[in-house]
Order: sequence, then structure tokens, then C-alpha cells
Amino acid sequence: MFDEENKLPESVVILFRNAPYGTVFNAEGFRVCTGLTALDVETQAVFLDDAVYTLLKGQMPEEIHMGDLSKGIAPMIEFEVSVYVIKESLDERGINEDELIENDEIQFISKGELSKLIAEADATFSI
Amino acid sequence: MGTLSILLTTGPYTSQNTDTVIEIARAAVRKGHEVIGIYLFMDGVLNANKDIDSLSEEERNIARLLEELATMNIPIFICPVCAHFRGIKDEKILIEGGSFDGLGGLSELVLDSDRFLVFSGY
Repeated sequence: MFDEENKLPESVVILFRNAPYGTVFNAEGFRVCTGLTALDVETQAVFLDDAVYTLLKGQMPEEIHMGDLSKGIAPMIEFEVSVYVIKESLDERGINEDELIENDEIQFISKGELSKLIAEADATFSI
Repeated sequence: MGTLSILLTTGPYTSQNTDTVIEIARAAVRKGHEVIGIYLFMDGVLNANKDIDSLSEEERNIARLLEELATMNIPIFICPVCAHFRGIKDEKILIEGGSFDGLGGLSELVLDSDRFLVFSGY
């Protein structure tokens, strides 16, 4: 339900679908998540399609003058953003869960479970 | 050694295109090639706004990086019509070393270079 007084949704799902580098979409998505959660919106960040590469360990983006986006996940979780990774997207790319950064708070879900998240959220958008 | 020119149609910071153009131009000069021009077209003109402010010393400033290319004798041309549509109507807004040049200028770059590279789309 929308918060009548502040006109804010209570819960939002943000879908990350792009590869981590080459565009600024994922980096800006991180900012959107922390901004929403700072406004007490229950924020759920979902990584699917090529965005699952964002969580890979051992990234070396220095050559392209970018920061390591995988290091942005833990602070997001500390800001109480719920982080989900879609299992099918990992399988399609041959990525094992142990190749991703380690954080007990990261939840691995199926696309079916994502449908439920979207159905229960007040708003969903892709970044 | 050869001559190279580059067309860039995307704006700063959203995609990596501008960064790639800058790196390729530097690398070409390092290898002894001549970059005879970078043509900024469509949203690419927004890269040439001298007031670009990256807010932090740690974050790259695309306007300053393009100005560095200009000091390496790489001309930076800006489509005046695209710029006008985007509110950049005065050359005073442009980076040092940048200048308006119409599509005739782009045609000359294509004709005069051994290789013409296009960076377009995300």
C-alpha cells in the first residue's frame, strides 16, 4: 500500500538486468536502492540476466577506470536492501554460487519466486 | 602510419563509449597514428560541455579528458545543429579545443581518414 501522507510506496522491487560495466545503469541502480531504503521504503534488488555478473568475485575494472561494483553489494545489504539473485540466470551463464561474493544475506531464488516478489510489491521497475 | 577519425553519438557517463573513444585516440597517437578528428554527433555533443562537473576528484571528468586530447592536436568537432537542439547554442559553452562544424566537416573526416570508427548505441 502507498503511504498516504508521504505518497511513497511501502515496498519496491528493482530489477537489475544489465552487465555491470559498459553502462552506468547498475551503479545508478545501487544509488536508487540506497535512496529508497533511506526513505524507509522496503527495497528489494533483484539481479537477473547479465546483471548476475555484478556479483562475481575477482573483478578487475581498474583498467577501465571504474570501481568494483561487487563491493557495492555489502553496503546495500547494510542499508537493509534485500538482495536476490535469479538462479536461472546463473545456470544459463554457467556460473556457480561459489563464484559469487560471499554474503549470507544474498538470497538465490527462481523466476517463479520472482513473480511472487513482484506481485507482492507496490511497484517494480527495471534499471 | 595511418589516419583515424571517430564518430561518437552517445553522451557522457551513461555508457562507456566516450571513455573508449578517449582510450582509442590516446592509443592510436601512442602507436604513431594521426587522429584527424573526433566528431560529436547527436547526444555525443553533450560530452563537449565545458561545465561538466564530476563532483569528485576521484571521478573522471570527461570534459577535461577531451580537452587533453585536444592538446594532443586531436581536433574535436561538434555538430552545431545537434548542439542547438540540446541547448548548446554558443561556442563559449564548449570545451577548450572544441569547435562547431557541420556535417560537411564530418564528410571530410570520412574521406580523409584511412579508418573511420563509429561509437553509437549502448
